[in-house]
Amino acid sequence: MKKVLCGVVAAMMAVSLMAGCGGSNDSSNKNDSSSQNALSSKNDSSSSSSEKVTSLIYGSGADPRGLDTALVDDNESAKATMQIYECLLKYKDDSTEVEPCLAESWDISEDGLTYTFKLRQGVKFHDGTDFNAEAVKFNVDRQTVNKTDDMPYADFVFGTVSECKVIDDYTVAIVLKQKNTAFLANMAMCFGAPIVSPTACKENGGSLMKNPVGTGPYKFVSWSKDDRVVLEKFEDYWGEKGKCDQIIIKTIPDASAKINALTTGEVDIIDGIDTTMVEQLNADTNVTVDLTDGMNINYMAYNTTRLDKETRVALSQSVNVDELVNSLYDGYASKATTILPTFLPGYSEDVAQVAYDADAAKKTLADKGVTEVKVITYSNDRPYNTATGKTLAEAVIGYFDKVGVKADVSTFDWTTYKDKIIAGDYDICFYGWNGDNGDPDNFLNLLSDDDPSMNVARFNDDKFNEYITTGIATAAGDERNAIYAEAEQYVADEAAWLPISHQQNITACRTNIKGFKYHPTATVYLAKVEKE
Amino acid sequence: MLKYIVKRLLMLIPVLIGVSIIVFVLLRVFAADPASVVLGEHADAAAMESWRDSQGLNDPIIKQYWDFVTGAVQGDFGESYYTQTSVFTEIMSRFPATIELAIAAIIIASVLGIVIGVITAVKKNTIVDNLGMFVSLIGISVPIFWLGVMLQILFGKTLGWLPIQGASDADILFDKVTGSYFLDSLISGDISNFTNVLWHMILPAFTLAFYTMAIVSRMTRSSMLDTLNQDYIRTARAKGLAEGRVIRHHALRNALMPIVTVIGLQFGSLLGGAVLTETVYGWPGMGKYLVECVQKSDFPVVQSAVLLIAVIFVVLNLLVDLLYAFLDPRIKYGRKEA
Repeated sequence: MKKVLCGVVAAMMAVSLMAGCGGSNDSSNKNDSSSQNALSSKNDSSSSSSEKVTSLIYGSGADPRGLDTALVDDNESAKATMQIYECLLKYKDDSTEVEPCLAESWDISEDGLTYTFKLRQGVKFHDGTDFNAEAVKFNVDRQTVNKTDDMPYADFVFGTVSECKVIDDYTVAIVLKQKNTAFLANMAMCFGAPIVSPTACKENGGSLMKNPVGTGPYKFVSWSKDDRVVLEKFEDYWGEKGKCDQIIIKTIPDASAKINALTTGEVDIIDGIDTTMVEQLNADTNVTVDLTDGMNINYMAYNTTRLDKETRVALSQSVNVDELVNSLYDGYASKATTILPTFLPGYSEDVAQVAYDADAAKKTLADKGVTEVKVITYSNDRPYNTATGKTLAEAVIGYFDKVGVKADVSTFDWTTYKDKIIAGDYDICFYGWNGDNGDPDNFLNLLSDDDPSMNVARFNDDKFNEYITTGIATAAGDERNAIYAEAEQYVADEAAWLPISHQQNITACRTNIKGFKYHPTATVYLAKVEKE
Repeated sequence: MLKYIVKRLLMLIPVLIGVSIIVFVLLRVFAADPASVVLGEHADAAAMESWRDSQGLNDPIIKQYWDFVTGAVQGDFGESYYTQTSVFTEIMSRFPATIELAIAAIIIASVLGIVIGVITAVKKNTIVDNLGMFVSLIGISVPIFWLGVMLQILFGKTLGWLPIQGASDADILFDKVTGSYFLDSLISGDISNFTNVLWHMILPAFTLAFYTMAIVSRMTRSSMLDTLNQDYIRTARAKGLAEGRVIRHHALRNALMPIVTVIGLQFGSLLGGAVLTETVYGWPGMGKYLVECVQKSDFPVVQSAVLLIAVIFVVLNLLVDLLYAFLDPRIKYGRKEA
């Protein structure tokens, strides 16, 4: 009996060794051959085994939360969903300017309250359902009149909508309660705005978290939790079809392992790369590193209910932001001269923040008797602050120390930190923002928000609020941009925040990958990406 | 024997009640508010309050606990707050991957650990002994995440021998029937799928096994040294038995009891999830997921997963105790001593 068992085990090991050795010497060959295995094992009847299948493999830092864009708010989910779904509008490839997508054109009424969209005809969802005005109404109603508590972006995208009217089969009118110039930008967002198949949504009890059905260039095949999401090219797509046959979003949580997976060719593209790894990747001839400006702001906020303007200005004067950014971010973040990133409408290079002047700061703080401040920060890194909140706070209190102010610093994990922010027991906190839709209001209205978890400076200023109210109701253009530039200067003079940096997005791909671009909204659109 | 097993299994009930109360209370006292995690950055206070109401989080904690227990008894562990998927589905989509990695690791650790332990005991105070104990000292000391990344660089990048991410190549598809990559690749009927999975398992299994192997080898050495000094070993040698037979049949079998205990406990820990190994190798198991759920205050998942781990430990302890009887015929369960 023992001999028989030994024989079986030995035979299995021999077979596996031979097969393993044969398949693992060249990772690119391995991928190609296994791609064919994949389709031949899955689609025996439909695909010819002689066709070469191209699989684009994207290494993502975390598993998606879910695949229903009305119910999620994480970028990992968007990496899969934005290949499956489409919105009425879409962003241009390298900016947040919008262009037609499922809507071919649109009109805005004179009062700025009614947006009429002419829809594209002949578009089908992956389940065969027709895309039409009723489908759009279903989607808008789903996140307005039928909204549930668990839709994180429903209010942001559709909060100003009063009703959605079907004019005819391919015309739909969305009526707003109040003017909202950012509404068009919202219609291209990766959360809330994508159009889902009404049929699939109803069949799945109102949630497409596991069975996404959209109109996009790729359709859903499978999701193996904490492993991969597999998509395949939608052959009946209305526009230019996807370049690769399959897209695989592979979950690789460890940063070093993600780099190793790219350099060994196990994945084709990765994002969210730590700045310390860039040099190593640049040295690899099989890899191309790409840096793009991030639509974000990393800032220090003063609790304006506890620190007066003079103290805030003096504390801002004490921090050498240039030096801070250069030392902490290895050149992969730019110093923030305004709250708005430079490529957003409304950005003005004329805005002047409080200038570094340690002597003046020391004098003012001594005169006012400010010797101690209570600081809270977060322990982890954030997309807008790769150096971690803790490191940033330690650097800043070094500057405070030089002007005679001691800091009592408390550090928390991110979830607890947000609770501490809401509790409000701090003089200074560190925070940041990733833009959602590319509209200036999306950044500046943080300082007029009633919610202390958004307006962490608890800034409540009638004049500033007026800027925000006017800005959101003014049509896009020079007049609107001037309003935001003025608002920026006003809040800079009030020193509610000390803007610190705009983090760059660092991505890398194998050199045989062509056409990959990381969008400023931190989303990826992979249909145009080719694998040679 | 049967009576003993039933008695031990009945002891599960107070253990589970105790563990569930502790986890339940700790989560609600110390974990952050899940509403802000679930509803995201844009949620206002009213929406968060409404969500807490809908999840019963504003109810008295005793009622919340009662609802959880009554649901769990009927097999309903609730839904994950974060993914809105049933907790059972969430756990079962990851647990098989954890089991297969743990089994692979415990096999490697036990075989290597016992072999090293026996050799070092037999060759006590020689260079072989020193070398074996040096390896096990490294095994106990080296951080798993570091070892994992180093093995990836060596075997994946430099030598190009082994894959370093996931449980199979990303573009291999086979139906998930059992949830275990090992079994599902066999069921797919394609030998290349099976070998692909086996090949992916080597580095994570070895990384995970390294620490346990070190513990087992040290325990084996110490237990063997103790046994080799016993009179019956001297008797066996005096009878003229071959040294190999003395070591295998007389020394090792008598030394096995503490070794089996250690292996059982280590196996329980591995089944609870190997957070670092799963993270470094992108292995789709439960350990990493559980940690993420703690960070996201996903109460239903954490409560249920911890209960599962408690059950595993109790059952494994029982199995180890039953193994004692198999290894040592002098031990009889369920009979009163004469």
